[in-house]
Amino acid sequence: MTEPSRTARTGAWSSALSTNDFAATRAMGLQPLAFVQGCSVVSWGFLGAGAPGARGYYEQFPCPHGFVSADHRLYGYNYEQTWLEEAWFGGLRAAYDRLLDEARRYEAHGVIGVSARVERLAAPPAVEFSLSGTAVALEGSAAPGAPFTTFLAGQKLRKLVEAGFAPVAIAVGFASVGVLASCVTEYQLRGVGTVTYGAAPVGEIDQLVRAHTQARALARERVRDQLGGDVLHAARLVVREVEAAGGPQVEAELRGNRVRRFKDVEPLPPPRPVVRLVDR
Amino acid sequence: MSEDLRAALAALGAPPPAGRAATSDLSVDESLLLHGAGFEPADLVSGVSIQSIPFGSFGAVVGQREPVELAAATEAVTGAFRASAERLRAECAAAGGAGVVGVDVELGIGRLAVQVSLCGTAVRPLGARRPGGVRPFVTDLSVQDYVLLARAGFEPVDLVSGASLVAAPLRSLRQLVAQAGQNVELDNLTRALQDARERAMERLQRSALGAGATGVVDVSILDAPLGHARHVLAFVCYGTALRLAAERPRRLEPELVLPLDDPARAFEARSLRTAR
Repeated sequence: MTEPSRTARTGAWSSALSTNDFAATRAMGLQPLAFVQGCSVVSWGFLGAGAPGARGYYEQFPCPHGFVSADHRLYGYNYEQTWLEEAWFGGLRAAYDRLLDEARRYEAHGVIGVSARVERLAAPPAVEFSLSGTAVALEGSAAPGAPFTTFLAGQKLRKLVEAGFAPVAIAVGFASVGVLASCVTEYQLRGVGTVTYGAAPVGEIDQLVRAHTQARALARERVRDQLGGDVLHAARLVVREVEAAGGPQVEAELRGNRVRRFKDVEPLPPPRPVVRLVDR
Repeated sequence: MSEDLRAALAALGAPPPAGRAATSDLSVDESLLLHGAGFEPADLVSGVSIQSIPFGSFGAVVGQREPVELAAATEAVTGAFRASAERLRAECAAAGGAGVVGVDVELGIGRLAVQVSLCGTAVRPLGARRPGGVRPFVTDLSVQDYVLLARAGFEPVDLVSGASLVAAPLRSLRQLVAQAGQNVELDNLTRALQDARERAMERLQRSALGAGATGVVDVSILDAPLGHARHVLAFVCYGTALRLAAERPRRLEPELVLPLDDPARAFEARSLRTAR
């Protein structure tokens, strides 16, 4: 037997909505039910992942100098850190499922104003995923099996629906590319050349640029895989470079709202330019 | 509204439509405005470039009397802007876009490298699959600004930039002592900033002309001493290069509006005092 929901136990509802968002939500005919959340903490390990390049993106950057010395690196490579990505997606999926489970207990139609927090914990190396939002129900309508989720709330959600789009789910993509610098990349990152080859001139750091480009492309592909034929709306791409023991790691995270067109809308008439006669 | 919402929830039970999904970082307002202007988002696109700066490029020169431009660092910033914009344009073309709007610009100048990252939404005319043969435009203007410019008869051409990194001459010991504790203009820094500004703005305008534009709007400026080399003043500017698309600029004739929703006057304790 499942435990009765907080609302059923206390008779009151809760939400994370601001006053404005609450008013707009009520105006849409949605009733806030409860502040719901799901969280998960995961650690990762590369055991069982195989050698870099065994799975996912891998690219070699050979040394152009030939044999220089025994400690001269013959090649560098970029590799997708699939074990880290899998841990990341596993954690996010677990947190998301818990959020949905809680919303289902309230017989919600959806969870709006979702906030996603991803935080690295230092020891042990782990990531904490925390998703929260407000479960809502459409008054006078039976609850569906799978509630929708969206980062939007209030007026933004209202405008989305008026524009003919239905919120489907939050979409999040993540990719991590590690860089083991080649000799050329290492010289460029240190800003020096060798006695033989002189100072490193101004030039593009190809290996690092490829890592950044691939991380962005992989994150976008991950999100695209979640979309089916739906549209990704109001996306935000965040890229960070993390210094790790083996070299820099490039992490790209893309978040957005998966939405589905449910009706066609006429193009808006050209807007009228106005000048507001108000001092700022 | 409830009816719309019911229809929206009913659509969630149906299978998703077939075909490649469109992705964008546009808001609802921007999407609607873009739709009204006859465009639709095609894909979220990005371009990045990281250029190395040789070791010692920011070093102070003893005995330097005049501001000196740091050629290697300036070249790295300029090259990073150019390469990242080209990559953004290539991604846009691959997605079948006619141009990229709302480009978000991130610039980082480090001791040994410069990074420029661009991210925006590729857009295409409604229903168009692949507008071939046309070089996609790139702009950091919002959709609102883009639509307004189009109505005024202008079209964006490219995201152009200009940069100059200048090392300010160190003050002599005599100057240092004479200026200590005084309200004086630091001539060495003023001249360095002025030099950097003039060079960068000239480069910006030249690159706009090179792109076939007549001017640049919404110029953003970064001008500050570098954190890792306080004697180096960086002046970097970028903006959207425009050209006239119509025969002549169109008058917008904006309507004057006096909003009647001014915020209420704040509580003022003095008004409660009785007149003396």
